[in-house]
Amino acid sequence: MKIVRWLLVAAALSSLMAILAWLYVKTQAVNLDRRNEIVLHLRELKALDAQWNVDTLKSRMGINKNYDPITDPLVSLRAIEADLETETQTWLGNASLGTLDKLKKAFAEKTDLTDQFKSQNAILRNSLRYLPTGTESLKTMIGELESENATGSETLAFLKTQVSDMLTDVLKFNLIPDAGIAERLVQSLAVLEKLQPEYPAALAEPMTILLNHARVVIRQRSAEDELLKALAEVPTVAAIDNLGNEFEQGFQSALNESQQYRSYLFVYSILLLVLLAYAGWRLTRSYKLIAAINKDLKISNETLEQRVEERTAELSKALYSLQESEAHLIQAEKMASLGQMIAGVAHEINTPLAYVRSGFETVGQHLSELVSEVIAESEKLVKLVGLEKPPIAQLQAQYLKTRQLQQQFSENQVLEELDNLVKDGVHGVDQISELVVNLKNFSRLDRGKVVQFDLHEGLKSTLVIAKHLLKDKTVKQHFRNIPPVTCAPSQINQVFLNLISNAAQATPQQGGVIYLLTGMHPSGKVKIEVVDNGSGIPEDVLPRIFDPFFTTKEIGKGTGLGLSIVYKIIQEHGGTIEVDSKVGKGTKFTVLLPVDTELALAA
Amino acid sequence: MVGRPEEQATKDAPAAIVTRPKILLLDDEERILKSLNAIFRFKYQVFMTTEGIDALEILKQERPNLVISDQRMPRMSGVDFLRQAKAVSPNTVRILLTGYSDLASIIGSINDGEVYRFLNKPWGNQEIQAVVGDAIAIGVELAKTPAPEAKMDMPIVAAVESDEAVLIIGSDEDETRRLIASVRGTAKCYAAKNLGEALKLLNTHHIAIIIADLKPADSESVVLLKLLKQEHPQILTIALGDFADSAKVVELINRAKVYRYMIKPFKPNMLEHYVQSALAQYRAYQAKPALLSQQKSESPTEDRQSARAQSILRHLQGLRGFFSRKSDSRFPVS
Repeated sequence: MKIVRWLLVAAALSSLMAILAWLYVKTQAVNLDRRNEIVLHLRELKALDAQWNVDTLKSRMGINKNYDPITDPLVSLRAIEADLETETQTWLGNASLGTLDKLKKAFAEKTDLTDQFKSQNAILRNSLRYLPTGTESLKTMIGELESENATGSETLAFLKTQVSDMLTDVLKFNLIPDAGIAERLVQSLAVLEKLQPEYPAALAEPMTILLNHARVVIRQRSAEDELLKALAEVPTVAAIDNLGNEFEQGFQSALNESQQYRSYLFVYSILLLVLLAYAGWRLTRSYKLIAAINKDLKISNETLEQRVEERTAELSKALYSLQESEAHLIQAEKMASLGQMIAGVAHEINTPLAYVRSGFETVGQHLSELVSEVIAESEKLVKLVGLEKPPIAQLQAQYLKTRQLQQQFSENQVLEELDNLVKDGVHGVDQISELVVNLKNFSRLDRGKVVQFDLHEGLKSTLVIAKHLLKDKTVKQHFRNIPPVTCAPSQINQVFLNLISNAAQATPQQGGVIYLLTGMHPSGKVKIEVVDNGSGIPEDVLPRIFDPFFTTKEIGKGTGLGLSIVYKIIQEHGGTIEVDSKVGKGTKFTVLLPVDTELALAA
Repeated sequence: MVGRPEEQATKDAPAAIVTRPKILLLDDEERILKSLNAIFRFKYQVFMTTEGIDALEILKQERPNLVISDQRMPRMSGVDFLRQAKAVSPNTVRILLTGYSDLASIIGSINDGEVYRFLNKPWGNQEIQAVVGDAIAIGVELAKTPAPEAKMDMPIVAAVESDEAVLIIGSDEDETRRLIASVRGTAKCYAAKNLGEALKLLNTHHIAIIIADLKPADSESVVLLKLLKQEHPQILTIALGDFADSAKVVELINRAKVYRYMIKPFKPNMLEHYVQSALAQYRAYQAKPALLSQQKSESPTEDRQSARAQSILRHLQGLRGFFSRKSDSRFPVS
């Protein structure tokens, strides 16, 4: 989700920047340098055109020695045209190519006309160059003829003037192609031609050539004028101006456009600024908020520390009291099972104690009777017998009395009873001392907490302790060889007592059987199983039996801590306890204890 | 082992066999039986067995005057046995001899077994002989006047109409009100908050049954109950308590001969039931005062010597006249 959000923000930002960049590029669309360059090109072109016109006129006037000045501009023209073409395409688009084409056409026409002019002018130039020399040579020839032939000297002289006039007129015409001059020239030429048959034959040929040249001059000069007129009419300047205008317009519109984009950019920038300001405001606000929160946090941190301390104190107090109450409960459970055990043991001890005490009292009574009666009478009898002269009658009476007493005692089997009571007394005392030994074994208070312990011994003393619970049960022991286990015997015995008394409570009054099995588990642990054929534990109850306070007994009959303590003890010994039960079939508790365990026993 | 000492007894004293009272001893420890036999065999005809079933059989056959039973035995507990013994041979006095008993079995033996006394193991021979002597005397008396079992089918209406009343002693008024509510249908009720009121009511009304709501620290009421039993054994006591002190309950049965003991909380109809049976028993005693010997309690002198006891006694002795007027019978007093 967060990534998607970041991507969206990044996309928005980059599109904003792209718009900004696009607008900026748009405002930079008009390159003034290029514009100036184009204007320069156009001016150059104009200048070139003007120069060209001048050069053409110069060539016309014959000022130029050759035609280079009118051909040279063509190279520059081509270059400028090429430049303009690219610029036009770049700046004005194909629509303006028409204008450029017009320009190009105009220049092409101009070039073409210039070429024509060049060739026409060459012819003219040639005739003009010939005419002065031809006239001179003709004049010379006429002069010679005049001197040789006096006849017809008038004609010759006229010819001579005519030719000179013609030359003057031709040259004049060449300079100013005036219509009057042209008319006069044509007349004089016609006169000269008419005169030809009158001329001496020798003059005919040069005359003809001269006339022809004059005619060429007249003709070419007109043609040249026509050409120059046409040249002047070629709309190069207009085309240049058009293109210039178009460029100018293009630039202007581009400028306008960029101006517009500039204003867009301006607005957009303002918008961005506003956005930025908003973001900044938001940021500031956030910062303010964060600062406020930070402040609050700091304050609450400070109070938190205090509160944590308070809570910790409370919690540790609660924990302490919990531990205390847990210890209290465990103690209560211990006391309860101890009470139960004591009840049983008290009964077990009181029974032999009762018959020992009663028997001894009876023995004492019998003994005092024996002493006071039989022995006293016997002593009397012995005394009588011991007399020097025993009185027979008294002796007899005493004998009978003693005998009777003895008989009475033996008939009442007093001596046998005494014997039996004393034997029973000894047996009872043995019983009591056995119980006491087992009590000691069971509680193991006389030994260190953790010792190597024969579990069989523990099971046996537990059985004695639990004897009152097992009165009508059959206990079957299947003990295999197991090594002594390092453990806390009093705790392990508590486990045994708990399991055995549970088994006893679960089994019926009639036919209850409890099996105690020991042996080695494949894991190397010692296995102790307590199995009964009792009521079994319902499936729904089974998972909870090791929970503290869980009990199915009546309220007040059990704390519900017994099995949880068993579990805890076994766990502390690094062992495990498992239960397997079927309702109506019985229950099996399996305890596994490691032989050597790093005891996690608390002190 | 089942000891059937008839032959032995015959051999011991053939002439006395018919006259000597019979005692039945039941304990799972044979040596207990032997030591008791050693005490009693000269005076009584002793039957003994370690099995409850056999003991019931002997009860049927021999109708002994007294049975002494252990509580903790395999197969059949002392309470179970006494309950059945009461049904099989109601005139046989029942004593429970026990090394240790939990409260449940003590109360069971009072309410179901109507036990005459609790005796503790180990016992003193003289003490047990004295108790047994008294018990035998009662048993012999009962055997001579075979008592019809207190009849429960006596019309209850008669009880309400008669002036036989129930006295409820208790300091908790709410509790007393609840008790009255559950008993009212059966008999007239009087309530006393304290000993003084109780004594006054005892003087002015024909009280047949006392329901005593006992508090753990209430030794005064206990003293009253004890003395009352000594002076007026015909008044039957139903004690109610919420304390689980078995020694105190044993004291109540041995010294005050409480008729029933109930641990709170209990079902109200249970109390009604007990009141009805107590009324029936009361009438049976009135019909045959000799049966009252059953109500004999121990009367150690120390109980009577305290100043408080003396004043109670004076009141109670004043009562005697009241009862004498009510019925002609003079009750044997210990």
